[in-house]
Amino acid sequence: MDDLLSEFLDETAENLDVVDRELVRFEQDPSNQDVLDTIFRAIHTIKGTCGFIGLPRLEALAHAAETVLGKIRDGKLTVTPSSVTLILEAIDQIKVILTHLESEAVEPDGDDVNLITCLLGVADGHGEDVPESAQTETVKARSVKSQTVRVTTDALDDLMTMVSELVLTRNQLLQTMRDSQDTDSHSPLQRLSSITAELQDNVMKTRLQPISTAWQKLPRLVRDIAVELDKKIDLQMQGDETELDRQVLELIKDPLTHMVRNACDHGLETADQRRAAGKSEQGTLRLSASHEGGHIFIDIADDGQGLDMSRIKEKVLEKGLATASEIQAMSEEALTTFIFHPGFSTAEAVSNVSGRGVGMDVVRANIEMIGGSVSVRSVPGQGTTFTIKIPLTLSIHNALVIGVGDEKFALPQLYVKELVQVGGQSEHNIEHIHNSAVLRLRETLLPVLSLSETLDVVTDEGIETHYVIVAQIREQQFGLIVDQVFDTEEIVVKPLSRLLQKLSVYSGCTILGDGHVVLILDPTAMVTAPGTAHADGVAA
Amino acid sequence: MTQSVQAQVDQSTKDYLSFVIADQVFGMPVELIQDIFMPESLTAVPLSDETIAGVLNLRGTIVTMIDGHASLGLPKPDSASAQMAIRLEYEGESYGLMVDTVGDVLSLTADFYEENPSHLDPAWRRFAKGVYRLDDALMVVLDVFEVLNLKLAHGVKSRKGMS
Repeated sequence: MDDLLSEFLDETAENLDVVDRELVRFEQDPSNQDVLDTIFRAIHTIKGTCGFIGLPRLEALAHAAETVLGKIRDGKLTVTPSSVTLILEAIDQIKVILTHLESEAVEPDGDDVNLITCLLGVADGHGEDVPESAQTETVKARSVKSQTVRVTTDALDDLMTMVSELVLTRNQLLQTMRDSQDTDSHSPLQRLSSITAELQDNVMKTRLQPISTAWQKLPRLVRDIAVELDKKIDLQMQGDETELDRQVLELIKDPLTHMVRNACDHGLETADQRRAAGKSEQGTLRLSASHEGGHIFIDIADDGQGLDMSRIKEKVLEKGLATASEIQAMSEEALTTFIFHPGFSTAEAVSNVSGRGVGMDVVRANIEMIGGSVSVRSVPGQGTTFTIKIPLTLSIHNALVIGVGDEKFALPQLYVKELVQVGGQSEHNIEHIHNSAVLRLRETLLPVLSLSETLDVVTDEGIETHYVIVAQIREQQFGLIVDQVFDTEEIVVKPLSRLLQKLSVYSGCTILGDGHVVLILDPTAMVTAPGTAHADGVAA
Repeated sequence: MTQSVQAQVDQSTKDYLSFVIADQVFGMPVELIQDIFMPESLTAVPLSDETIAGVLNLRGTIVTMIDGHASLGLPKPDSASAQMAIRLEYEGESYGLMVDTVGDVLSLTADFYEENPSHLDPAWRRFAKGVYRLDDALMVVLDVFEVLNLKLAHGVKSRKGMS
């Protein structure tokens, strides 16, 4: 049974339950307008939906019932026991048809001409008598089994917040238990812990939606663009059942649409160009989504002309983003990342489909805002593939708890590539070039920032060994010197109040297992310009 | 809490919670107050304005703590005396105003009310909403959201950048 039909059955079952209840009141008090309105609306909804999904028999019957109800509502018809009986009969018949629909997924054969005639007769003000033959089938108890219930998204969000709190509290409890000798509570606590984890999983599942909900508008969009630009585009979608958090889905909808637009506009060539290049006239745009280790990967691949490297080089020079010799030394991969630079667009002409150069940087910013990343691969003449990597959920992260001086901070694991011990007995040491600190790490020089300087926190000068957290932000790597590295913890991000939101080095705060609040660092704000990063983050 | 709201039916009285910051008595309408608590395990927020004392966890709620002394431009207490905090909500966010001591809830009639004295410091005019003459002190009515808004407008001061 297709989704539309089963949804209709659920919805109609709900509506009929209302009608059943209201009809009893209606019979007792036929002059009550509210009751009549409710019944009318329910029947009207059923009729409307039937017409929409193509159930002519049901539609005709609902229409006839609606006509009678409409006349009664408008005061053109007085309620008589026989007209009520007729309406009840019509509703019973609707239920019969629904039962059949539920089991067979098609309307039963035959029609309800008799019943409809009677109904319309009543509506016209005559034909008061109810023919025995009006009932075409005996009514069996209807049992449309409800597979789904409607829940407001707010309720789901609240549930998720509460579960997140529960996870935090559980972590707190585990921490307390670790420090205590009480072995009796050990096993119930383990049980609590696993139930909490299961609950978290299940609640997260209720929030999942297939990515197809974000994709459903794309075929139309691609068609329109194809017509406008006189291109032939075949849109293929794979993995549209891949599920991700509702909230994440909302947030990637716009970037995704933008990238599809871009691919149609800039990526794919016109039929003439494609023929000249020895390709099939029809370009292919392939969207695919998959789920890999806590992340969702979305590919947007076209078989178009690929990124124009020489245009990118020109543009980089023109914008003064790099010198000619620097460009010479850059790999193609490094060059392609310039397309994510603000105000960077190589499209020759600004079309109204995409691109006034506000595109890819905004796309990247939006994706990074939810802890995702976007990368691009391009082969000249063969096409371009954008890959978006996004977390499954925004609610719970893993974070590394680090210490500087007396302060603790949380750093989302997402950014952490590796940990290196420096100073003391370690083989690694921080070296300085003028005022810039660097670390030799496997044949490369890694720029390093000191967290204590960045945050203006007093640190104990006596400590010999430090740790460098190698962080990966986009294509940049940098090191962050900290005094101590503690555990990794599951954290629930809580927003900072508006008085603190200006501090872009923090993305929020969280409550640790021990009940203390720690601030969550946002390394992307530190890397805006390595070595010159403003400690107050205002530059970002 | 030891405060008891005097059950007076007189229409013209208003209930204020009195509290002290640097020897000055202030008052705040009781209906604004969500909690009164002793701040514990405060987390400092590096780079923040000096008026921000830090953030803390109050039964699962993140409360941004406001340093009462710094916000009002009053001298810092000499020693780390036991401080109290008053929690308020502002557009869904929780703030805790740190004060030296919390006094009684006072039901005051308009008879004791006076406008701000004309020569009051302009900075104080913004958050002082008049004065009540108490028997033993003068109580300044504090518009706490004005204190916060003032800080919002101020923004965050730029501190030491990286060299």
